[in-house]
Amino acid sequence: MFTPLLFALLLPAFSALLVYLVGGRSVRAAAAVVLLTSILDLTAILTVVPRVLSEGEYLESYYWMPMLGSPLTLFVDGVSLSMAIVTLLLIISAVLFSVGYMEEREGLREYYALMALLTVGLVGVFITSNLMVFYFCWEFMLIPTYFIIGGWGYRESYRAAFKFFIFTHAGAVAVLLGVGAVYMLTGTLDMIEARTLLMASPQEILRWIFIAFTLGFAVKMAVVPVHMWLPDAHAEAPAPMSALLSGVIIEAGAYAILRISLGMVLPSISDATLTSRFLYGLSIFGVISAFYGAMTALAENDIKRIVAYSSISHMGYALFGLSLFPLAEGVVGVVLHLVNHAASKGLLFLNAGAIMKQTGLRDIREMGGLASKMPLTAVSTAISSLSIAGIPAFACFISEFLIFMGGFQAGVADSFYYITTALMVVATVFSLAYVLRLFWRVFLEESKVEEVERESIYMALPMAMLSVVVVVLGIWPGPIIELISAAQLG
Amino acid sequence: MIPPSPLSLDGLSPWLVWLLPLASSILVPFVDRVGSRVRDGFVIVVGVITLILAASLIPEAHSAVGGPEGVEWIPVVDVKLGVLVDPLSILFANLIALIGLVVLIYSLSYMAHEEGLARYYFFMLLFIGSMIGLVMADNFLQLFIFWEMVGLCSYALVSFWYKRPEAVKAGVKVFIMTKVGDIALLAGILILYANLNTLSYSEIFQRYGEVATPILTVVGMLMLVGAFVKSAQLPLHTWLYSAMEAPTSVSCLLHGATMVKAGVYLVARTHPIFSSIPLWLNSTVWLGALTAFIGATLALHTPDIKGVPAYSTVSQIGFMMAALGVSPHPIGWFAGLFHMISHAFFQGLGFLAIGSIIHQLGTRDMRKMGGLRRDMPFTFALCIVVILARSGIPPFCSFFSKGLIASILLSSGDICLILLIYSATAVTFAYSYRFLVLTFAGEKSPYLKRIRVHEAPLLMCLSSSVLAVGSAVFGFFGNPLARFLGVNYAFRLESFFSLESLMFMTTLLIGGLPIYLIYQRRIIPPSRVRSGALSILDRLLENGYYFDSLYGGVAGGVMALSSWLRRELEIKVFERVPYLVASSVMALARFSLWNFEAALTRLIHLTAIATARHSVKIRRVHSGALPHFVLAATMGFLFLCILLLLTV
Repeated sequence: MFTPLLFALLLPAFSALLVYLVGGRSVRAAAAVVLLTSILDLTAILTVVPRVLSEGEYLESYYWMPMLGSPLTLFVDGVSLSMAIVTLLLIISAVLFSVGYMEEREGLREYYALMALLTVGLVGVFITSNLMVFYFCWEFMLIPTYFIIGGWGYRESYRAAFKFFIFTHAGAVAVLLGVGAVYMLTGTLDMIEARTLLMASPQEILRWIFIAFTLGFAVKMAVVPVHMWLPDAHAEAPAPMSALLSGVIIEAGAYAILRISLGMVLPSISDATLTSRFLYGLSIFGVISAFYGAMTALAENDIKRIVAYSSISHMGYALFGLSLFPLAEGVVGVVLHLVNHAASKGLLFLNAGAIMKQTGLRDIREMGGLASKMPLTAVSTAISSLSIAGIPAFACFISEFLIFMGGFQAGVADSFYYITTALMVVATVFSLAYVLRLFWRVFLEESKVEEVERESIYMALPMAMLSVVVVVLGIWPGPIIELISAAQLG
Repeated sequence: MIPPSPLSLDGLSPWLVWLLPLASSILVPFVDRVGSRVRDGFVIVVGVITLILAASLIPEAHSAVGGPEGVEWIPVVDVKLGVLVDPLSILFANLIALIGLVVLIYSLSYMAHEEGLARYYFFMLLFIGSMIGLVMADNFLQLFIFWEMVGLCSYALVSFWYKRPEAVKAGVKVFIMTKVGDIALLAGILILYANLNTLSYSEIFQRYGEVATPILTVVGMLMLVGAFVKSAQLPLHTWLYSAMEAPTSVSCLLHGATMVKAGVYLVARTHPIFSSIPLWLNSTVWLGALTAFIGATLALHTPDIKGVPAYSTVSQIGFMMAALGVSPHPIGWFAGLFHMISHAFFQGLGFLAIGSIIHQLGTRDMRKMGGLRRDMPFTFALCIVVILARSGIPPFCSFFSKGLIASILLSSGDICLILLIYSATAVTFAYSYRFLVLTFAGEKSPYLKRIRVHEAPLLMCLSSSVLAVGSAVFGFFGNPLARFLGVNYAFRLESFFSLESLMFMTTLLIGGLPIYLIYQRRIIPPSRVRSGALSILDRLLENGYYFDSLYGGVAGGVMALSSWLRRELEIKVFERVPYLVASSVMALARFSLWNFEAALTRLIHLTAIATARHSVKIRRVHSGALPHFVLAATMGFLFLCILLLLTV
């Protein structure tokens, strides 16, 4: 019997080994192995789509560690499936991009092996409902990330990587506490079982579980004020890794809040005022992050840090959307926003990487006039940055629209949300401002850079591919929304 | 995006009329690879087909009630992609398609020697498609999407010459300022959705009564802000002048004839919903009238030849807004739309004629011009048509449309409003006349003597003439238009000779007189007007009533706040905190390690000393003699035995 999820989880781990075997001879072969693995992985994941569309979820259960009392469950529903798909799409783009982007670097066999290992963690987080497996993958993605940032990053890369590791690991401690508490209370590690069993648990502990989980996930999500690790890590990482950091890793935080804090713990908290207070908290921190990220992006001059701050801003949108739980518009909007943001921001980081590689510059004040020299990057940056600014016909607009829609919907019942939603709507002007400034300084006016070569085909291809994805998601979001809303949430 | 019932072209044309230009725009870069002639031909063919499709909708205007069935688009909120076929949407669609085609033909010649034409035509076709999509939308989401897309096209086309810093800066300003209006519109749309759970026009028009009045007022005002910003009305009108950095053909299509009318369209479309709200009506009429006046004064002062039609557009849309808001009765609504079309003709023509002048002269400064009438006789004739039509000299179109607006406002009875509108009318003639004198009359300026000026190329003249004919005769089509829009209005011949017409004409004369004296006869030198008592006014107009200074201040403030946040909070606090935490943890670790080690050493030390001291006493037990051991062992054994006995 073909078991697509187990296959998707384990294949990259084995391919890491294969990369080591072939990578000694040819770096291209190593890249090809990882690429092929990711494509196979994506295919395996895609085979589940019809099942999920018709039944709402898909589950594989394996006998594992009987002592813990829970089987190893690999589980996808609409939400996790769409996250897994976009993750793999981004990994494929990142690997392909690396072929051109990293060509002059050393030790690429290890790089691609780490990429393959990273895939295990990134995909694993989304395709399981077992808290232990989830936690394992959650932590496991740190290790390859640490070495990739440190080993192939810029400037003080190990320092940035260290900061990233310590911060997210500190967050993970809170998550582990939560996992332990849930196991203690319910005797199961399965999220879906735990959700019903937690109902009978003492309220006093539940609220602390919620806080522990949310705090831990918020660190990974880089919500202001625990965003401190993000700008350094995103800016100093090599571009493909930045794309994955922004496109998948921080979004895993948002996904986990939705799946665990809100989906599993919150429904058991019977005190309605407490619940709404928690959600208010998410809403307020969402607004703060959205504004803070956008304004720092507006003032920043380092091209990758601008994009990094923009990620903080967008996680603010996601957090705000999460605060609308369990409103359908809000939840679907958030997940769609995660998908759209992954594609758009991943693309924007690749664009930034291409610009940095071709010009050797980071400061946007030193650039200018690149539109005529790197036309493809210019078009693709225009697409990704307009999507980031929430301009229609590009992906992020639809999801922001849904989130705002949910926000005002919530405002009818509770006027608090009228205010926060209005603020979020205002924040989009700031997004447009930093995006236009970036585009202006990099691509327009007279060129200040003398000789710029065109980007290589391996860099152009993933950029073009993601550009198409961003436009298609913006024009025809129906199928992906259908997939997301097949999930039973809230 | 295929409509569900592809039975005949009739069912498809409301879709194709905007989908065709949109889809073709994507093909432009590829067609451009084949050859520039092929690209030009392709673009024109698309323009023609779009116009034919739009025209084919005219007979359907009254037949279809809700338009063709929509297509499922965004499932979770049940938004359908749909088109609305009604007189209002078809009117706008035809206007856009017509002016679009004229401008495309004009561009063939006007833009012929530019670089990046694939980009130009891509955005032009994208704009035409989006603009028609905007008016054909049958729900607010679709409207908003196209609303933003035309804004995007506007940005891209204003910054068309992206190597010129002014053009880039203007583009950013235009985009950001209109975005401010867009978010107001977005909020309005979403609040309406939150209360009615639908975005579709037809349902909203049926059920808006369910929304509480305060909320409906908020929604109305938010949408009005969106409409006013898009249509360059007070107080956020300044972007339109900045948009003049665009090629003139773009200014004609986007910033004269169509895109700035999106606000008019929105107000006209939502009129039935909000016309019961006094605040909404009053804001529309008062801000409109005020804009009509202020825009006209700005046009009177500008030395920039493109500033005249730009501020004129601001002012004329003010007339339309005033008409739309003047009263709930439908004549005002009709007058606004009537003038909207008149304006599209004469202002479009104004831009195209000015484009020909700039094309020949290479400057926009009117002070360098003069005496052009001999070199460019045809353009001169076109400009005379513009002037007559814009000011409202009979029988040109504006006499009918603007005259109608003036007479409606006259009947409203509010003296301030009447004063505003009539003085705006007077100033309109004044600035038009001034423009004509400055550019065409008198002797050739020194600048013009240095360069050779020809009449504009044939293609530009021909395409402009279409609009000239429109400007000349459209006024007589008021009655058919009223019938088409379903408004009970009929223009009667005797109203030519009414008191209102007389007042209107007198107003024009009053406006024209100072210009005649100052510029044509030069009896009063312009410098004297600028100095003296009027110098304050001069400075006020020079700075555009300080609106831009205000917005520049706001933008600067936001930038300053952002840099402050980055400098003080991000770098000084958030960047440092992790290192502070890390170093204090390290310090603590070092400190405790040192202390712990010291303590441990001391403990061992003390133990050793204590052991040494006490060992003297203990040593006695260890006497070394066997009997002592045996004794002890025995005693111990006995002790155990006793314990055992006791427990049994």
